[in-house]
Amino acid sequence: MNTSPFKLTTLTLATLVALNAMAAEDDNAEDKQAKKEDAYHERMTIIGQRKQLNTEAGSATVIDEAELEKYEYDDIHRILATVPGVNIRQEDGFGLRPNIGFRGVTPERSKKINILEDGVLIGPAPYSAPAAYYFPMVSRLSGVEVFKGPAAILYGPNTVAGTLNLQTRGVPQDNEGMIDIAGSSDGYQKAHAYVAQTSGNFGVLLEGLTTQSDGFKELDGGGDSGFEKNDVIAKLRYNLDSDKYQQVFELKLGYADEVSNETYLGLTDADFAATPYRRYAASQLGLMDWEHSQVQFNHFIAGKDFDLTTRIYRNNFDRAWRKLNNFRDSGSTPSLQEILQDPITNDLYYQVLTGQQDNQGLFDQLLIGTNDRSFYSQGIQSDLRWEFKEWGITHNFRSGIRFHQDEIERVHTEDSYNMVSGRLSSAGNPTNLTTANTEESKAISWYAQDTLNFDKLEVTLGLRGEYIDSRYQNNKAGQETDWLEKQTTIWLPGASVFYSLDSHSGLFAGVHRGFIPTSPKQGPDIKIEESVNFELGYRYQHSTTRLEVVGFISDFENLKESCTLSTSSDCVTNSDQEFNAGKAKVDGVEISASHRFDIGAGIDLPISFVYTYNNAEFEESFESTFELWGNVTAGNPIPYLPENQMSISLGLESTQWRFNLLSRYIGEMWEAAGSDVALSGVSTEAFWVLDVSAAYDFDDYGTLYLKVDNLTDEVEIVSRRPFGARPSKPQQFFVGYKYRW
Amino acid sequence: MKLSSLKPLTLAVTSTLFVAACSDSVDSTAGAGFNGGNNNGGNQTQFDENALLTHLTNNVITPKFNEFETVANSLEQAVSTYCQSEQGFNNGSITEQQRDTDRTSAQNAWLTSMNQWQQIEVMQLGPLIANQSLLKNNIYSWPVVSTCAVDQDVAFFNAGNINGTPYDISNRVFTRRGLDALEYLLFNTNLAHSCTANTAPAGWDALTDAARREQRCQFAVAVAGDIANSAQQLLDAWGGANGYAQSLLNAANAPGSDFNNVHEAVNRISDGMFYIDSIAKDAKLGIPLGLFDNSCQQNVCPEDRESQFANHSLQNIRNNLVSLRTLFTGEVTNSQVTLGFDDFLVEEGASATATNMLNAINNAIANIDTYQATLGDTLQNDSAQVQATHDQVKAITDQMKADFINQLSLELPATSAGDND
Repeated sequence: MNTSPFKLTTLTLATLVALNAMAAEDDNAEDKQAKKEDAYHERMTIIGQRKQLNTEAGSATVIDEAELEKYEYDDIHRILATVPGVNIRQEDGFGLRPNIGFRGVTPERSKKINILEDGVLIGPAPYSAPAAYYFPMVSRLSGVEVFKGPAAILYGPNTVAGTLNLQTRGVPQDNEGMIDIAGSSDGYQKAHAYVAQTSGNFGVLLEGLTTQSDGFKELDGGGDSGFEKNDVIAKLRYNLDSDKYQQVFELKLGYADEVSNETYLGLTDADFAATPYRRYAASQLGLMDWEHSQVQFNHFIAGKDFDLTTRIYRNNFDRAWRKLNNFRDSGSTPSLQEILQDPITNDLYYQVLTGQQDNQGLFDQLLIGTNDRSFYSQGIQSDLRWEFKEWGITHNFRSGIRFHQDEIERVHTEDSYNMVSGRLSSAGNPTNLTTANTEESKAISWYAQDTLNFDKLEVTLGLRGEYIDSRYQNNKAGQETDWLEKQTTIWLPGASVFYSLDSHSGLFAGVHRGFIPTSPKQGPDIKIEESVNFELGYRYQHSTTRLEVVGFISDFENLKESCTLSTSSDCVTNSDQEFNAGKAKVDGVEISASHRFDIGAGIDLPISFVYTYNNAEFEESFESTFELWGNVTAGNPIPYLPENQMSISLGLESTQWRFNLLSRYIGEMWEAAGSDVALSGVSTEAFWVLDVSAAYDFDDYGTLYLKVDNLTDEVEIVSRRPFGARPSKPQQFFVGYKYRW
Repeated sequence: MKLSSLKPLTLAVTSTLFVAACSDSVDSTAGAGFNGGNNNGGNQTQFDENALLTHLTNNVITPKFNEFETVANSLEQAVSTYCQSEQGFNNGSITEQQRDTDRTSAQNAWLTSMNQWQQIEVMQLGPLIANQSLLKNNIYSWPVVSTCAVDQDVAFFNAGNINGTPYDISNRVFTRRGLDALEYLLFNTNLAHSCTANTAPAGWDALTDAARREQRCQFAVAVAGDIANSAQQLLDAWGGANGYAQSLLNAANAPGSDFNNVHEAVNRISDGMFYIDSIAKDAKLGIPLGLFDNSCQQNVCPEDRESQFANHSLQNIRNNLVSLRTLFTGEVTNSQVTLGFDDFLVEEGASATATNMLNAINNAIANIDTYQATLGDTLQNDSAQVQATHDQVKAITDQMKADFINQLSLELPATSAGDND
């Protein structure tokens, strides 16, 4: 299905270079508009590039392009390690399918946070199927913003935790370009380039990125465990300014694809201890294949005291993941998780999984499923900012409305395979259609927020409304009457205050209502997730020093979770079924501090420290067949939320070279909440990871960079899901060269 | 209109919405087939579920477990006697006729045990399903069976060790033990091993037929003893002050109960009854018929049937259905009480469902009683008759999955939640 990455890269680079040659003719025609402050670019962000004290309540973190370039990460997990309040469950080591949560929401497939790209929901179907199987390639991002707290009501539908906004490169106001190539062990290659040209009011940007690797895992019997990913993006921008108004029209077109030999199958603990990067023979057919395309049109108009941004967007995503689902069910067949957790009792199946023994009959045939899903997400949204004075008070008023529609269509099939001499061989049975259904949602969202400025005190009141009209339909023959239509209306208030102690520091507090909708197929017995979220914090920002300390409480009236194959092989038969947990509470503290020391001779020493404490517990006892929970007693921990997380970074930087160290600590995480499930009482081990990077700028001849991920070659079990122990990425050396013009 | 004139309006509208925004709602409309048609509201019942639970526990399930322990001990004795005869025949002290008579007695004891066990198969709860159904599988694990694994353990047992470790059947995986292994050892007349060249039991091909019979019977004694031990383990885990039976009886006495309420305990018994759907209907009939993936590319496949050596397949299904009927009606000889799920349905105003289900069960049993040949032969020669049996059983499970579950506000077990019909 996918184009060869080599061809794509070559074509992309050739196009970019050609465009640049054309653009060079206009190099001297510098646009006067370029000197204007780019308010439009600011509106593509949530937080913006603030140099002064941010007086909004809520923990806000911006990772800008310079920061992203420090470590040249391809993995969003590694990037977010420096953000307080983020909890992550790693899976494949490359971050191909991220699991990200904020402030105590479980990280499974990042489905409880809002993921935006340039201010637009970028998940494949954020309302109907929020699991983020698509995630933008992070190497092409120019910024990452993480926002948590009361302002979450501005970015629905998920308001419990927060929002991750991924900024793509804007059309710059200067003619410029870049080529970046890098290589590493395990056949890793990266080629990344962009070129931008502005002529008069018209600007264009073309950007292409390709990465690939043979993978760091060793498949029993040989085979590839790597991936190939490609991404091309184009932006056309037109400025139409008058004396009164500044206007921007921008069209963004994107295409991305991935083919990866990925599997959900991990290892037993004993095998992990012996050969952590091994992959069992039964995973040899694992293959993820997806394509993503996007179109976005933005209009921006700004006047003296207002601006209005309107975005029209459409995202298409088609994916098919072929992977081992289970052994054939014979009444009491253990799940893959149970087999790997207790390979001695289940030796019969373990021997087949590892290819050490042929299967003996029907009962130990392997079922390989292909979950083929097509998604679209489209809509139009307008966001207004308006500053005015009324009743002697300065109001910063924000309001927005969004009409959104998304859909997932599932066609899941399953084939039976025999294990013969370590190779999977088709059993010759016809392909079984296991699931065929459609879930669709139409949503109208509205918000209004007013910040009233009383000198040192800012009071913000906000409200979000969501009306979701959804439908589920079973598409299997004879199942026409299996449908559900649902209408959800919810109102989500939020309030916060910021009190400026001086021009550099302040105290803030906030409260807001958290909400996560149920997917269209969930019956009335599955409740929405709702919570009341509190926070209290202190923020200091002056020159190159920044400090933020935030305490938070998320008090859940109902915590829910959905059963996806990424959670357990038990979810094959009830994929995406949701479960209620009732009351739960997450509280914690987030601390982030950074400072840049000038140590003389033109050398800076930047240092930063980030720490997160989480205490996440269920408050009700209940019995659940959901593999992540089991039989829960009030007080049991919520899985995959480490109590302690920390990152420390320091560097030496001059104008011509830099050297940076980033060390991260992730505390142990429970893999299940209660008893009577395969991973009851099992936790990951706490571990440290040290990444190092260095770069030297040869002035007009580009920049050479070196980096080492996991310098100490630490390897630990990062999780035992989807099924079995998964390793962190091993030590990996990279060398790259970047040239800008 | 100037933008500034909108300021009061904006504030007024926003304020009004803040005040008005006090009502959330989630409304839904479902098709008739949503959630398998199980859209009940979980209404409170006036039926005495505790009485149902008590009757089924004390007068249906517990006696059945006790009976199995008794026949398992008889089986061990019969197999031991047969094996002594096999050895006696080999050394000339016993006649062939006596040996054959003793083997037939052992086979009959196995059939008796299997008749009891097949009724218990529909009562899988508590200790039988704990630890991934380990105890149940140790007694009988079909369809997870491997004749090669049994052949290998015959050799290991007679060698007395596995790679130097003393042989202990209690440490062996369930494909090498239980009633299924014993069926192969007692009924299989082919003395060749069933393994590939790579997995063949060491030295087997060099043995005489007499030695092979003797080795198999000696291992059969160990297997029968292990079944008797497992039967005792079942009773130990079931009975007594801390047994699962007491948990069921105590279900209504919250707090202190292992269940949230008595209805949940009733649901556990109902879960066990769905064995009729996933195993009796699908595995025992549907797979050999080719309705699902099988060893013959979804063609009729007698080699995928249960009980290939004793040819007890039809009787096994019949016993499953008889057990289902007993649980459904609550009618047993040792009790005047006849509380069953049918009474529960009647109490809930679903007399028609109660009647229809009972008729369907009786019809399926009557259908099986019409067979003139084994299931294997009938599959080969008249698969339409087997299809008809399947349809009769499906008539039961269709009602179980819809009306039965719905009327009694029970939850469908995950094994029957798919729509593979």
